[in-house]
Amino acid sequence: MKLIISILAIVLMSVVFPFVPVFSQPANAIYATAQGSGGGPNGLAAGSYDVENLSNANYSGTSDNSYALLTASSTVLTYSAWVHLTFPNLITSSNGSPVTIYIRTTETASALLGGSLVLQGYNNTSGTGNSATTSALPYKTYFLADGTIFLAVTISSDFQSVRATLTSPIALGTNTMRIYYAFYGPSATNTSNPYPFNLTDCGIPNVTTKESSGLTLGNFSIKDPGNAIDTDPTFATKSSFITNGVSLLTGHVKQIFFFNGLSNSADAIRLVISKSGGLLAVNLLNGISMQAYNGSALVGNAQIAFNILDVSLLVPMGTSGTPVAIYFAPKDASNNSVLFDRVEVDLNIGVLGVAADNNALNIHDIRRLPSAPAAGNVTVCNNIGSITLSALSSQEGLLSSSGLAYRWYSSLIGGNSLFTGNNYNATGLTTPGSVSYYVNVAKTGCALESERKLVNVTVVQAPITPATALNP
Amino acid sequence: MKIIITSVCLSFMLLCSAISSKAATYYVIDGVEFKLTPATLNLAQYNWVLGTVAATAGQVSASGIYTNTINLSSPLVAETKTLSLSVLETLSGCLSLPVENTIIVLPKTLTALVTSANNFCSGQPISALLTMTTDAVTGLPGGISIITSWTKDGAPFTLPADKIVTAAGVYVAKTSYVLPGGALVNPTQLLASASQATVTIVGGIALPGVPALSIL
Repeated sequence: MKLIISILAIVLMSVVFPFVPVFSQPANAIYATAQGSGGGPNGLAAGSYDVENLSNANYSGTSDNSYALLTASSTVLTYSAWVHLTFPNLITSSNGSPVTIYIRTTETASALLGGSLVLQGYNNTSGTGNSATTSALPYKTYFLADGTIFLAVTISSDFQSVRATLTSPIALGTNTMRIYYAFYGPSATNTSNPYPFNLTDCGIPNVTTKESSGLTLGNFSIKDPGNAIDTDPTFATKSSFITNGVSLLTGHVKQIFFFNGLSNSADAIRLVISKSGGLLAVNLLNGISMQAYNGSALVGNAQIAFNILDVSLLVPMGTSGTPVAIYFAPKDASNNSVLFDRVEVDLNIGVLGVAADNNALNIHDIRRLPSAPAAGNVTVCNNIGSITLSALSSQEGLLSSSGLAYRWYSSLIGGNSLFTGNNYNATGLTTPGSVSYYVNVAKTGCALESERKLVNVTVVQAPITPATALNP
Repeated sequence: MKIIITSVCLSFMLLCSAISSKAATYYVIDGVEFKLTPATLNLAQYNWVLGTVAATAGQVSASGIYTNTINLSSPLVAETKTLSLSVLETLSGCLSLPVENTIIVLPKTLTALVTSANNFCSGQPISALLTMTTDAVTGLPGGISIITSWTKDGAPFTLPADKIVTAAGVYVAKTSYVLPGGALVNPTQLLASASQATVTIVGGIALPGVPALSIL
């Protein structure tokens, strides 16, 4: 038991892939290049506001970690501080083709001590005159691996600037907010995913969001959501589903992961999870479902984690903190692969019921990878003792130029690769019985490999040529 | 550990048994039909291949017996051929490793025997020179030789060094192959290969009576 768990842990932890630089925004993002600021009382309020280092609210490169700091304090009623971020040109947007703006910060609405944050678009550079949006825009919060946050607002009419207004708590309080920069993705996949399609990427999610719903009693949320996409090869970091309480008939905690645009055909998801607390692994796995989306549209069928976890991983999954990998290949009712740009991991608290445990589920890593390659079982005669095993990925045609690497193993998990290449000559098959091999595939340049496909080799006892005798 | 060792041993034994199926050398005679009978008959399939040519349906019986007659390209030049056999226990099953048997095709020997004189009169001493010749056979593998054995009136006889016999009788010179020790020998095939020649020396032939003379 300990051995299995140790092996699994070692295997999972020893998957050699380097920390990959996290994409904060699309490579071709267009940034707001001019800044303005201001603030003041709301009504008869007493207080103060400040915008420090306004010029820092401007993108200056991939290592840009400088920001403008908004402060709004009040002693009576509320005070506001705002920054106004202007793009170089008027951005064409409409109901039929809206554009989403992303503002990098470190604060979420829940971090504010009361008060509020309002985002509003304008069709001019100054923020004076008519606004492009008649009221405060609802915004969505995206979490990044480095702990920062994108606040996203979708604007459905032409605009050139966006204003972020921070309001203090009502009396005797201060709210602060960092504003790093604002951008939009000109090649955005859709209004909620700014990242364009990338045929050869290594499937690292760019951002993640979290949601909860249903009738619950207690604290249901997700802690450290960005840790699930930090590509930590040791899986030491994780996002944790807080399920401290009980659901009242129904309740869900969800984390959604956004990739570089739509998937390739026959892509799959590798989700590395662990459990915490005393929940039975089976119960927890039955409460986890995975669903793919293309934008806001559901694509393919949801899968319950229990149904797609390899049965051999149930035991290690039962040990708190032991990460195991689940592979989810989104497919439709006809078992055809579907294209998706995001995946939702849903913990159904209603299923867990009163057995819900604090930090029941952890997500250590998630990637979008090619599905396991196809490879058929074969039979070999023991007097031959060798046979060529072949594997073929559905993405062979797609990635013929950049390449795929097939790796063969003798075990489902871990171990060193026996061979790299789509045709493996298995030898030493001289004992009648069954021998198992496993093959997976990885994009060239990407260390992370797909799920392993089992290839059974049946070794058959060959007859022995009989002796002969000469007759006249 | 024991399991590993056992598995290794088993694999080795299987491998050895597969490889060490008795490959034999058979001697057959030019133009004489022969049969090779597998120790196990009535398997699903027998693949006999002479050199690179698979046996025809007519050469393999339903039970697996191989029948053939090999004619030498040159009647006095022995040839060595390979006849391999592999079998299928069941159709679509595994083919056994082919076992290569060696077939040595021997020419028929041709012996001639002549004598300087056949008949000797009574009172005349017998003295006949026997000259035996055998066609030269080439291409024989090492270890094979041709010997000549003599009989006189059916009994073993040693021809004197001067090859002159001094007694009347039926002299038979027989040439045959001597095969390497341990080689598989089939008497019928060997018999077919042998040849012999016979001369009869007759002595004591009564002298004709001298006819009486009369003067008329």
